[in-house]
Amino acid sequence: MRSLLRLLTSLRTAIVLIGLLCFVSMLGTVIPQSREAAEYLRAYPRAGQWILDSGLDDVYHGWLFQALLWLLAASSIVCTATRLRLTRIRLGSRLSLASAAEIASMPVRADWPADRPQPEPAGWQVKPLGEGGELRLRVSGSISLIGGVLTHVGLVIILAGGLWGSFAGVEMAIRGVAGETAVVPPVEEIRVAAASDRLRRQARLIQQQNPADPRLEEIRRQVEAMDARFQAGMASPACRVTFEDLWVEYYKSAGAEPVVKGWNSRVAISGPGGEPASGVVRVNQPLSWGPFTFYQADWSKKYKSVNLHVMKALATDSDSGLVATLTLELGKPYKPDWSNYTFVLIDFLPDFRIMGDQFVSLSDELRNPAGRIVAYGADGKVAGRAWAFSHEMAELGGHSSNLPYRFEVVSAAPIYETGLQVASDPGVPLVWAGCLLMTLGLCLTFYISYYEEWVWVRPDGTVLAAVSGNRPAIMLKPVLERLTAGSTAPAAPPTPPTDATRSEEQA
Amino acid sequence: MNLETGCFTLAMVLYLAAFIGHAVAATLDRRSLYAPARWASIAAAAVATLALALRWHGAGHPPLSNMYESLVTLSTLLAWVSIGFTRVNPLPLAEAGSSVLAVLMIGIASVFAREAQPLIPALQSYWLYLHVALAFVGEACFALAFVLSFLFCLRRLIEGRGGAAQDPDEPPPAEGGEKAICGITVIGLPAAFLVLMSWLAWRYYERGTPGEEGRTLMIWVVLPVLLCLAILVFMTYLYRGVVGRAVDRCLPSGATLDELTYRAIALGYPLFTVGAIIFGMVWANKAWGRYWGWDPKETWALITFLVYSLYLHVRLTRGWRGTWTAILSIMGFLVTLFTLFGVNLLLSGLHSYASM
Ligand code: HEM
Repeated sequence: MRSLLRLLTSLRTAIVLIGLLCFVSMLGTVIPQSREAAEYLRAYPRAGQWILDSGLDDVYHGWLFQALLWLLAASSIVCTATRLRLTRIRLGSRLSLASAAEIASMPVRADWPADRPQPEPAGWQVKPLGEGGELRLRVSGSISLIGGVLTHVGLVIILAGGLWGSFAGVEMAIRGVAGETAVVPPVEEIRVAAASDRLRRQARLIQQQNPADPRLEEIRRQVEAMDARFQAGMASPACRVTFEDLWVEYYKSAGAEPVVKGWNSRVAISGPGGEPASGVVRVNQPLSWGPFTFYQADWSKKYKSVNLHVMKALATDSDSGLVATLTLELGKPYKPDWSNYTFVLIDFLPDFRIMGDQFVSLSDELRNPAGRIVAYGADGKVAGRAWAFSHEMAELGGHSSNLPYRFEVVSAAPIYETGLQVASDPGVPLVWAGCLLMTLGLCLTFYISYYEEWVWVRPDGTVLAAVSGNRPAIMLKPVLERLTAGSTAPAAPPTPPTDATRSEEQA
Repeated sequence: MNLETGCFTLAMVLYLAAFIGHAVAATLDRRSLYAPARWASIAAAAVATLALALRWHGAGHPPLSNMYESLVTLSTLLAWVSIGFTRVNPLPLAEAGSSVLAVLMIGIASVFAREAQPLIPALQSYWLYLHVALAFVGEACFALAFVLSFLFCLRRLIEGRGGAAQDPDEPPPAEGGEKAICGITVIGLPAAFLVLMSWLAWRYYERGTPGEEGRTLMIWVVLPVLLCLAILVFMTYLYRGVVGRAVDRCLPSGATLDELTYRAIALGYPLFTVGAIIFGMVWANKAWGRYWGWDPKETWALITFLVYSLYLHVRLTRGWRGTWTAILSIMGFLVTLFTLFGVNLLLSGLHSYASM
């Protein structure tokens, strides 16, 4: 037990722990995190398995990192306790513990000039020494000494807040368009859903390594139970969030493309846990309700309804071939009276590109619209498929339809969809308290000068003066010079060394 | 050329003048040149500050929101921190080093898009200014500590040659592995910088990026550095006796440089901790709903903080002053640079808007 304590108090342990934390944190930024197991095995054929086994695929939640954090917390606590004792001693019994030998070995010291009057003991703490001499001490800036303790206590409190938050905190995302209502289950159920996600990922990893692994069945049972619990939470939620209004602000600019200044969601929140409330959530301006805080985290434009021109597939030069103009709602079947087909718009990409073998939309803006349409015959079977493009790209539409028609996108009205991050973290106040203490501690340690001015009157009446403190020797020397020059004022911030003193130093 | 670009160009010329003045003052023992060189660096910093103020006025927000703005602001802060730090302890070679770093930062900044953009919603917070501004002042102190540590390695390399009396408080002259490390640092860092910049210029050239990034890097960064180094090496060779003695006299002792490095880090560490880490956490909590998310930028800011914490603790244990702490301070600054720029260019994350 004692050797464990000694290990934890050792500065070397702190150095090794901080070094290891640096290294492991760095690993987490170069190895992609929280991907599927197969991706690691594909990307790193040799090290993939090792990455998965050692938890480096999720470094910051893995055992190695967590163990380092716990050790650092333990070491900081033990160290702080030791420092607290030493600081108390230093503040209260500095002079009684000091010896003449200590003063004689201080790096910044000088014999009192023989031609100057000896220092007066008034204003100094005095300790008589055995053989007739005495030690005198004058201290300034002692408050700086508690800086180290405050810094480490702050650090421990931040770690405690972080750990508490990682066990008791939750976060989830809700989305919706104006008029819709999203539900937020109670905190416990959100936590269950997060645990279920982690289990699922673990199961996928096990399955990739051995599809017949007996653990899979147990995990499946657990996941099902958790999902049922989450669903129950959704059925009796902690609160309901109605998206009353969603709007975008733009910068006033002469540029062609408007630049977004802000995304705004007016929401109304109600639930059994508190009074109904409403307010606007903006980026950098969250809204709190009960145990939750809502943040504007995501924003997208959705095109649910698209206006199309329908043309005959084989139009002649004299005939534009326009058959009809129709409006299709995303996912909603539409049966026109001019055709036997029922059309469904199954996908709409406002800024269409082909990347590799994927069709993607580069943005939410209507730059290069493309709709995917499926036509069903009277028997309900798929009769054909077609792409609808804008007029400029209409040529393409003709080539990608196996129907007697081709389609052109005329317009599409956007509606906004907002994404709010919902978070509840009881550790946050603790983290802020730790940050405050740490800030105070750092300011005291580094920005307040602590000086000890020493005078040792030797038994033969000669005097040695010395200065120590939390400043480098180059800054302590002027304090010593002022002291030996006969200044009676306690140490003040040192004045700059003059050119003469500097060349003396260099000589 | 608009007024802001004109001001930055003038600032670069003044920084170069300051560098030459300080370098000559130190290497040829011309002390009378020190005061004009210092005035040149004060004028350079003032002109650069004016350029920043013009940009702030034009864009409607402080110049802290993209790579170009980050670099020119950091360059100006470094100049002021160096001027303030040497107010009472003149250190011509450190001041020359800071002028070089300041001019290089403006040179590299010119590679990135200069147009002031309106702030995206995530950046519209007063926490942005508190967070970035304070972190930058801390990083400017780290940059100064880097220059001082570099000089420390130079001091250890030339120690015992100039014939100056050995201070009894000083460790014996470096030998063997320690000397090799100092040599690698003094010669290797500028060489590595040149190789990196040339590689970047080549990459830009190869990619056929629209704009003139590759050429800008070559003309404003690689060639001037190469030229300066060539002149320095040539002059040192030509006047080797005088330079050796002058540098030996002008460069503070190893122990003093070590203490000054500690001072610079001690000044910057709380500012960086509060600005980059704590204010960053407060802002992240406001904007994203969580104070810590292991985003690459956050993680590298933490690594920077940990490296400097390591420096402070290592310095408390006996026997770790000198070369090893200087190397740690140099590594700290390299990590700082990676956090600032490498993460945006090489690793993606929520913060990567700053690469725009
Ligand atoms: C990441 C975690 C840590 C940080 C950020 C940190 C920060 C600091 C700072 C800023 C100082 C002041 C340095 C100076 O006065 O020059 C310091 C001093 C010190 N630290 Fe830490 N520390 C950490 C972990 C630890 C641990 C785990 C230990 C336990 C072994 C420890 C032991 C000490 C001691 C003994 C001192 C000097 C005495 C004092 O001023 O109170 N530190 N630390």
